[in-house]
This record gives sequence, C-alpha cells and structure tokens, in this order.
Amino acid sequence: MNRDQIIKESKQWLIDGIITEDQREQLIERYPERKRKPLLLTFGAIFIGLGFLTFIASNWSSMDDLIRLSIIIVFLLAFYISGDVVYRKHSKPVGQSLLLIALLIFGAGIFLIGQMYHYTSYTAFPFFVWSLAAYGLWKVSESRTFFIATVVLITIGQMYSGFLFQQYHFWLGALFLIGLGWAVYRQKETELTTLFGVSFIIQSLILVFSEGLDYYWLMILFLLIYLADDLIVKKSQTRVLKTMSIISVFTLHVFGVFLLGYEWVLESSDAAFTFFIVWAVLFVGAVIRAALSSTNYYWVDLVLFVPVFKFPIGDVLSLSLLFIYSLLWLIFGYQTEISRWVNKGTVAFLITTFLAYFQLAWDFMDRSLFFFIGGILLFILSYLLERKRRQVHKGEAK
Amino acid sequence: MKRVWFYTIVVLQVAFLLVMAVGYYAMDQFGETVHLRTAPVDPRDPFYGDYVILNYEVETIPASKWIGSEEVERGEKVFLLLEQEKDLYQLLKASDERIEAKDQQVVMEARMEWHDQTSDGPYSVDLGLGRYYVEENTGGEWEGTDSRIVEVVLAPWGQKKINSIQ
Repeated sequence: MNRDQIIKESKQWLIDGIITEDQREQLIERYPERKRKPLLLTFGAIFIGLGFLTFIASNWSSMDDLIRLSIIIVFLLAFYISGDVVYRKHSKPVGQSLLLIALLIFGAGIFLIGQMYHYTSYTAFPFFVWSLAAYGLWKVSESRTFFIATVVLITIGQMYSGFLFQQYHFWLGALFLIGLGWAVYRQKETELTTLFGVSFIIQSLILVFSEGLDYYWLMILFLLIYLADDLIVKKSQTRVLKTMSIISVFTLHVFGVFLLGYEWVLESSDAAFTFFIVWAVLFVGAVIRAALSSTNYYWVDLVLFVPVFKFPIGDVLSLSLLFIYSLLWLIFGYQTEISRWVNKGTVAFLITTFLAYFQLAWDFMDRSLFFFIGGILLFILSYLLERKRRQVHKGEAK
Repeated sequence: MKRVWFYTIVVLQVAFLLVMAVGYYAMDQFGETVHLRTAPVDPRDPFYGDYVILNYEVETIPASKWIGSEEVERGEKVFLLLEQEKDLYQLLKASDERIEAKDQQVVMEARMEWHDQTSDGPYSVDLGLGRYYVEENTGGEWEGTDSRIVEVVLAPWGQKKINSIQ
C-alpha cells in the first residue's frame, strides 16, 4: 500500500471510529513520501554531454592544441560553476546534472589532452584521477549521483586495468575500500550498499584473474564481504551483502563441481598455505559471529565457505556441500515454518539436483533420454517441494 | 554543499589538466633530444585511422644485450641504455633494473612485451611511443616508407614525446 492509498482509506476508518486522528497520523507517517529520482534529468545530462563531445570531436582535428585545451577548460569551469549556482539557488536535481556533465568533461578532458600531447599510460591512472574527482564531489555534495558515479568509474577503471594491462589497480582499490567502504558504513542505505557489493564482486574477479592468483582466493574475498555485512548493514535491512556473497560462493562451488575433477586444476592450485591461514582466521571469526547471533541457524551459510579444492575428489565434495546447504535450509525452514528459508532451500536444492544429474548422467546416457528423464525428475521434485512449501506458507498465514 | 571544498576540487581538476599540457610544452625547454630509427614495417600496416603505428629498432633487444633477470613478466618496467653513434641513438644494453647513464648516453623506460623463451630469442619491449597522431586523412603521405627517423624528447621527470618524424 502506498501513502496516497493510506490517506484515502484512513479517512473512512476515522469516520467509522476504528482509529483516532493520532493513530491515523502515525499510520500515514509509516509510509514516507517517495522522493522522485532525477532519472530523466540525469539522462538529459548524459545526452547533452555526449552531444558536446561528438560536436567537438567532429571538428577536433582542425583546431590548434591550445584552442582545444581552452575549450575543454572553459566548458569544464562553465558547467561546474553553473552547476554550483543552480544547485544552491534553484534546483538540486538540475544542479547535480550540470555537475555530472562537468565530471564527464573532466574525464573526457584527461583522455583528449592525453591524446593531444601523446601521453601513453600503462595503468588505469587516468581512471584513478577521474574517480578521485567523482569521490570529491560525493564528499562535498553527499548526493548519491556522485556516489554512483564513483562506483561506476572505479569499476570501469578496474576492468580497463584488468583487460588491458592484466593488473588490478591498487590505488583504485584503495579508494574503493577506504573511501566508499567508509561511505556505505556511514550511510547504511540499501541501494548504495548493493552497488558497493556488486562492484566488490566484479573487482574480486579482476583481482584474482588478472593478478594470476589461484581462483580459490575468491572464497576469501567472498567471505570478507559476508563478514562485512554485519558492520555495514543495519539489523532491520535486507542483508544484501550476505546474499550477494552467498550467491557468489554458491556459483563458485557450481564451477567446482564441473572443474575440480580435472587434474590440471589440481596442479595449478599449489602454494595454498597462506590461503588456509587467512581462511582459518576469517572462518573462525565467522563461526564466532554465528554463535553469538540471536538466530541459531545462520551457521548454515558457513557450510559453503568450506574449501574443498585441494582434495582429489573436490568435485564430489563441492556437490555435497551444495546438497548439505540446501537440505539444511529446507529442514530448518520446515521446522521453524519460515517460508523464506524454505524458498531459499528449494531453489538451491533444485539447482544442486540438476547439477548432480548433469554431472553423473551426461557421460553415459543417450542425450534425448538424458533430457527427458532430467525434465521428469525436476517436475516431480518441484511438485513435492512446492506442496511442502505451501503447507509452510499456510502455517505461517495462520 | 561546502563551497570552499567544492571549488578546491574544481581548481584541482583544472590544474591537473593544465599540468598535463604544461609538462608537454616544458619538455622542449628542459628535455633531451634523441633520434631513433624505426624498424622496417609492412607498408600496408603503419596507418590506422588518425595515427601512424611506429616500431622502433631499439624495442627489439637481442638476448646478448639483455643483462637483467631471465624471467620478466609482461608489462613490467625495463630500462634501455642508449648511446649516441653519429646522429642516431643505438641500444647498448637493457635490464629490468635501473641503469646509470654516462656522457652521450640516455636511459629510456619501456614495458616488457614478450620474450621468446624456447630459443635464445630477443626481448620485445614497448617504449610507449608507438602511436603518432596525425591529421585525419593525411595517412597517404605516411604509407610506403619502410624506415624513418623519429625525433624524441625525454624530460628529466620521465615524460617523453615524439617531436617529429623525418
């Protein structure tokens, strides 16, 4: 129900004497007015920025270097100053959009001037300077547009660094973890935290694959963001970071099921001693945290953080972990009649069963028979699980 | 919004862009000029849109002139010691550790590209001067020559640029 509906409905309740005026106001207060997001304006800003860029670009080659330099700087200043004036005196969204254009001009300026003066860079340093500017704007304006801009620039910069130079840019990483980490810790807003988490996971992949680390380090990075959730997310909020971490580590095990059977994977994963030390410290921390938790079931998540890469039957162990994880959530879900857990367990269980079936039956079964039987199995399974789930739902509803 | 901080950030951005430009012009004043020969290239190859691709002779280091460690990863910094012979600068030796230059010598920084490890093959590095931007649609003039002399300026603060191509 939204605010307008509540206002309308509660009028009738007041007349009928169900609630008092005070209670009505309290009710309405529970549904805060939704703030309109400057989405269209943002897009408008991006389009004008692009128009500016393409216009200049098409006449670019006929201009002298110094003229080009002054064009960039004049536009940069014009947009910053007008953005600041509009932001303070007229409209915040419009002001923000102008400032965003200025930020885009700055970034374009770095690359254009770099091109004009034959700079070549071997790192994502231009992106670091650019995201530093975005971060500065976020600090002075505290408007989420610039938070988003910073996250996006850092993430693109890391991808650029990873794909082109096969390295993780340390300074970008530091700005992300310290600067933005602090920001999400302070703000505790679900949307910003989600964005932070997505970028963290992308950067984990870049770090591990471009720096040539063994892939199981991903588990530690995912465990870190799992633990960070407790610090960053407020009690009543959706545990976005935990959810993302679990989905990521679940996917990691799915890959494990397919790949750990091959010997080359085993051979490549040596020098794991440091990994186990770091892992042990974090894992013990996580266990203690789970033990202190008010709900007795959160330790189930930790099952997925058990590393099984080093064993010759790693694929079977990965699969078993996935099964244990899904079954535990199913069982506890039924016991406590919490349908959220049942849903989680159901989805995980279906995926795992399908994986197991794929892994075991693919090699020696006729293809069409494989899919037929698989389909029928999934139907039966989902029917059984769904029936049970509905029982829980009913139980909850009562 | 804290205005002072806001304008500090704006000024810093402008300053950054200006320093990029000023550094370039200041090189003419303080830099050292070096002439390098480009390696012969496929005449169809060197022109891409609005820039010419240049490969320098000194970017291919024969194993005999390599004095650094055996295994150097791609993208790592390497140092080339060049010495003047008549008008041109020629490669004396190269390493992944810093080398001191004497009179008539310069050190240029480059990045390791690859090394043919099977045979005692050459080390291939990148000076970062591989692209020379030219005005659009003037590519024709640049095609068809197999070797050129490039005038490069090296600034004491590590920056370098192509001054001209003959």
